[in-house]
Order: sequence, then C-alpha cells, then structure tokens
Amino acid sequence: MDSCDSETIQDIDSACLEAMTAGDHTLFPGLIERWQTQLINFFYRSTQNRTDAEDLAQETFLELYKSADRYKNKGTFKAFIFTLARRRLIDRYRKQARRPLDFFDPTDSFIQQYSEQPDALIEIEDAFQRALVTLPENQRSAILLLQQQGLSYHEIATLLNTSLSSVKTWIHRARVHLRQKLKDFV
Amino acid sequence: MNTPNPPDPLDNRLDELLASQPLKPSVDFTERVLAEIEKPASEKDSPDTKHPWLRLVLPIAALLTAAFVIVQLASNESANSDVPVLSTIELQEIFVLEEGLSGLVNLQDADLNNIDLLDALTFLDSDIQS
Repeated sequence: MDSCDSETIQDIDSACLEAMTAGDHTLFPGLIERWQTQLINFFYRSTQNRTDAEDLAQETFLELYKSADRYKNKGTFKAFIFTLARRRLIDRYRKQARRPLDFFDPTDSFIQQYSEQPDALIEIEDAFQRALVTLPENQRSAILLLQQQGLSYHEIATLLNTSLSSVKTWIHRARVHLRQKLKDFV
Repeated sequence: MNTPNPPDPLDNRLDELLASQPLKPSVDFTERVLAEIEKPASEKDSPDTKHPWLRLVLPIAALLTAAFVIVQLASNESANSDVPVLSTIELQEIFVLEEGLSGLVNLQDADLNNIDLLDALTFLDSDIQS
C-alpha cells in the first residue's frame, strides 16, 4: 500500500500533496485520475467546449503540481483545487476579453455528446447549457460548486472571496434564472 | 396534519442537470498532463520562453523613443525662447515712452492735488503730447 492510502479520497489527495512537497511525485497520476472528470465538467459548463474544458483542466493540474507546497491542509482539498480552477477560468475570460471570440456553435457539441439520447433530453440539456452560460460568472460558479461539485456554502464563500449571504443570494438568483429558462421543458 | 408539498418537477430536473457531469475525459488526458509537466521549461508554450529577448528589447525601445521625444521638445522650446534683438527705431520709441512716463511722476503730488480724475487724465494727455 502506498503512503496515500487512507480512508477518504480527500485525505488521499492531501497526503499526495504532502508527498509531492517532500519530492515524491509518483502519486500525481492517481490524483489526476480522481479529479479529471469533475474539473473537466466544471469547466465544460462555463466554456461549452470540450477542448477548452480539457485545456483548462490541464492548466489547473499543472498549477496544482507547481503549488503543492502551498497547500496547508487548512480547508478541504476540493476547495483548494477548485480555487485554482476558478483562477484559471477567470484568466481565460480575461484573455478572451482581449481578443475576439472564436465562432462556436454550441449545438454542435451537444449533438455529438448526446447523439445516442432522445431528442427531448438533448433539447433540455441544450437549453440548460445556454441558460447557464448567460449567468454572471459568480452566480454560475457558485451554483456549480454547490450542486455539481458538492462544496459547502462556507467553502464557496471562501473560494469566491465573498460573504455567506452573497453566495446564497447568487445561488438563489441563478436558480430563478435557470427555472425561468427551462420552464417550458418540464 | 399537513402533507408536504410534492416536489416540483422543474426543480428536480434542474437539480439533475446541475449535478450532471456529461463529459468523459479523453482517454489520453492524464498522459497529456504528465507530458506537459515533463516538458522542459524552454519548450513550454509561453511568450516569455518563445521570445525571451522581447522582455528586454521592448522597454529599451520605449525608453529610447521617450528620450528622443523629450530631447526634440526641449530643443524646440529653447529655440523659441531666444530673446529677440531690438532695432534702433524700437529702442528710440522705448526711450520716448520712458521719458513721457517719467514726466507723469513729476505731476503726481504737486499738480494732481484736489483735481478730479477726468481733469487729471486730460492734463496728463496734453502733457504727453507736448
């Protein structure tokens, strides 16, 4: 058994970072395997694009690799990795703001992704994704971190550097917006 | 006893969509990340490593341009601020004006006492013209 084996995945990952700080990088591939799906899907909901989502996830893992020694085990590992992830997302928005956006038809990816599913499901997923990207970034990140990634309100407030009440307000507004956009599909 | 409200189907659907993770990572994703980590810094796709000289050349060029502009402005300013040479006629006019004004000084105390302003100006005018 390796030194990272412990009761919870979070403990495994914290132990992995500690091992990396000590110079043992052999456990990093396992960490990537454990978190890649969550990270890629978090980014996918904001970028609507697999390539961008995977690029951002890769950048986040590179950042994690470089900053392993900054992890102090104060909060959860999940909060730490999504703090890095959100920073990458904000950087990407800044870069995009400085150059014209590439043309992208969001329906392309949905058709490829859900081609085996019934049309109604494709439609609602499509509408959901379009509604999600029209949300302000803070609202979208807050609701995804809560419901897609399972972070607590308190963790989200720390991660987004805001108050608990702001997080609750953002999530409420995001839900109202999404409900409004999806009301015709249910 | 109150029965709880049945769950809203829209809320349920929304929760499912929000929790969903529809993308599966590419099969070689982990390998790509590890390859990127292994890549030497010189090969990484960063503007600093692609063109390291840009970091030095651009500020130096900006500095030289700014210095050139400042020197040009300074030389123009000094050329414009040269004192003009007065001709003999202009010097004579200045002398005459000075003489007339010095005459005014003599008028002030003795002659202007108890005379109203209009009379004083008329007096000065006739004095200058004479």
